[in-house]
Amino acid sequence: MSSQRVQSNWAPAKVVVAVSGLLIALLTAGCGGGAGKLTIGIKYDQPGLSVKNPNGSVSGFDVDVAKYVAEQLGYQPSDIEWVEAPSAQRETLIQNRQVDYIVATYSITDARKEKVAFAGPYFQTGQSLLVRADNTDIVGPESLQNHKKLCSVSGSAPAQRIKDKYPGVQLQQYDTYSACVEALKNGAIDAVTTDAVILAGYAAQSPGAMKIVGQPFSTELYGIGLATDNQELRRKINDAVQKMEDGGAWRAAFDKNLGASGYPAPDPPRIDRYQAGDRSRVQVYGRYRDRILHAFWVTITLTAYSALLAVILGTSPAAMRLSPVPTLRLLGAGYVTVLRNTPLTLILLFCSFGLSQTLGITLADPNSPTSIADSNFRLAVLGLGVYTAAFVCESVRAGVNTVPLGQAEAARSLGFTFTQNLRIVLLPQAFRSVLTPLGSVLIALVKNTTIASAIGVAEAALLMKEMIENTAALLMVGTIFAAGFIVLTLPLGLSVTYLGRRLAVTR
Amino acid sequence: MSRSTVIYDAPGPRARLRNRVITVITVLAAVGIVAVALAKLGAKGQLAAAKWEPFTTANLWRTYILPGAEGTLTAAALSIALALALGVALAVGRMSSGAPIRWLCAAVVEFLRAVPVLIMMIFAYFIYALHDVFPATQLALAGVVTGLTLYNAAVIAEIVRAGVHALPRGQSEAAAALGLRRSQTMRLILLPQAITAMLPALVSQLVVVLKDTAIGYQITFVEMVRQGTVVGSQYGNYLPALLVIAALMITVNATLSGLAVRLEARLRRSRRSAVATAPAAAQAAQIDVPGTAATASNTVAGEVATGQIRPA
Repeated sequence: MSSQRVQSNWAPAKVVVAVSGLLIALLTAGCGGGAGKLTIGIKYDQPGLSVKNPNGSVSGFDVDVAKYVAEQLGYQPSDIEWVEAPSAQRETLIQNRQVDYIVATYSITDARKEKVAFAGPYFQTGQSLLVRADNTDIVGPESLQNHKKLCSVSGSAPAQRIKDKYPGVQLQQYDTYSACVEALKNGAIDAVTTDAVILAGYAAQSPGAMKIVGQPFSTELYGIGLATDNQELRRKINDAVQKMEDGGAWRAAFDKNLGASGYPAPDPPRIDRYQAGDRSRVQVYGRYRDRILHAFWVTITLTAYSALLAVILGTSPAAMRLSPVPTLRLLGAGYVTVLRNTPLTLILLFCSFGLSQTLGITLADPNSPTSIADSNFRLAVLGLGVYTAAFVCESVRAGVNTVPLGQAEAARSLGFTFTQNLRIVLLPQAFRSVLTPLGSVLIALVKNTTIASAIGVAEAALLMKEMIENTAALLMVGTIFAAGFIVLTLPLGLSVTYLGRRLAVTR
Repeated sequence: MSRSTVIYDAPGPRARLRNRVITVITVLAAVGIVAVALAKLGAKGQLAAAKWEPFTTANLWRTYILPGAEGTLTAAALSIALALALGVALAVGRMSSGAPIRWLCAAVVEFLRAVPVLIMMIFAYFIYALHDVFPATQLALAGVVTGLTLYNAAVIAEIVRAGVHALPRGQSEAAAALGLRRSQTMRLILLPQAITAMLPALVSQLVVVLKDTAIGYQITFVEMVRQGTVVGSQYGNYLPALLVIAALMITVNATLSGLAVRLEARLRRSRRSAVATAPAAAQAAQIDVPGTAATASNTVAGEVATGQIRPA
């Protein structure tokens, strides 16, 4: 299918491919074809995936994939020379031609595609959690929030991701995953995090002692890395991986190396025969479309509930500030002063850590599988509502001030009490005259929902951060989210202005 | 004209009694809520001396909170200065006689007001990282300042534009009669008056900037709120740490807000003319709300004209 796309709209790329293919063919012909040695980069310390055994041999799922591919390329196992490819050195090894290809838990990212080419992917996994087999209270990343001890490798992306997303987690950092797994077995920590399949490798080392919990909360696609100018080799490797996946050898390799972990074999991912330089902008949107729409839907619902709460909450301090009772006036003014001068980030953190975790005010069923997501969402609604209420209050008060004196005086002379005056005469007129400012508060609220990502609400800003880290299409991602918010706020602003004019009390 | 004579009658004996009863009930309720909260906090050990004692040590302030305060203040100062410059430029551009410039500036302002600050910060942060624009240590600061500058420039542009529009027509007409060019009129006559009149709104905008530095929390910027969480995890007193940070931020911001109100009152006293001082603009602009400034100043002008119920 992808070849069709190439033919239809990538004529220049086709020429490049054809020319480079020709060159490769000439070169390899000159070197004597499939004979000779093949150098493959792997890891030496990844149990289940690729380890160097005490006797000097190598084994694991990655190794089996590498061997299968080599065999399809026409090499005997004895022709293969294994080279250690630590994470930080993989691109250099390829660019300096020290290896022919690398099979080493090598995640395909757009940033890496700038430097090397990828065949595959041959495996799909995602960041997950490893806990002791007898552990029952950790079911996913959210359950770590309450000061659970989590271990990952220092400065690694998984560690960073967890730390940013769940600030309540206590992060223990070691230099290797092995140290983490050791600490886990000793009971010093509660969970280890990294790609599920790497965890599965450790779990398979001591069957029954540890288990993988929760759905993976990121997507990693492992590819076979090779030089960018060797399209022919890449095509052949892709064919080989396809054959391995179709023929059952893929599943056999998985069962042999990782079956003991109890981690179910995922379906093999579809081969991505992308064109170098063809990181189509549309692809980024296509790949994330559902999640982008979902994130913006969260933004919209978050706004709607918070707005409702803010109007309800905001009207009472406004009434209090206008009331004849000095204490109530003071209280109303205090509410506005405190909330208007506190950063929203701080208010949301208070909701999460103070209200929820310390005061034990739970807004969601703690046993529900989505309790953390629900509770975060509701806490965010509470925080945003309480904060925005201060601004609604000030708008309403300003609105009351625009009602002509004669209205209130007439009401009083008719014998209206303060509450009647406010309820029947002042507030209805005030609301109509402050529709435009209230609309502006609403627009500010739409934008402020992005701050809810501080307590892990899966709205637009949180997804944007993830997308930037996983795709190199920075401008595309920025445009998508900026456009999304413009689509939300501009019509809102226009319709509020229109409504404000329509409903304004004509005097 | 005191407010009590406008919405409600001067309280008689019964009303005074009722007001006292309400006061007592309110105070009791407030005290009750605070007591319950304190009791719950106490039960959770949040009031233990060990959780609060660290705040009396110099090291905590030196290592965590002062660098945070420094970050917050640096970012706020840089942002407000840059935003002021860019904002005035955008405002002037939006009132320019050349249609293309006007449209361009209008589009830029509308765009900047529609996009959340956080989105702009994240974008700037990553684009700087990608192109190695700033040294790694300054990356977060650059991201925060960019986001805050862009957004607040748009708001300031609208504040200034509202200020210029609120000036009496006679000002520009007189300037034109004297033979001043449009640019001269803007520079010598309109902007100085508009900016003076809008000073309270601009001070309030400073509060917005100070508060919004906390958004930088999410791109690892070292500011007050982030440092609060660091203190919390270091000493195991998350909640007390956040409370201390909140108290500090509220004090500074409330002082600034108070300053804005005082400035506004002073400006109003010193000018008899109908030049809008836009008190509501000061409040509204604080909402980080697009569009309010203009509307609010209209409201105020209307109020002044018809002598309606005064704001407290």
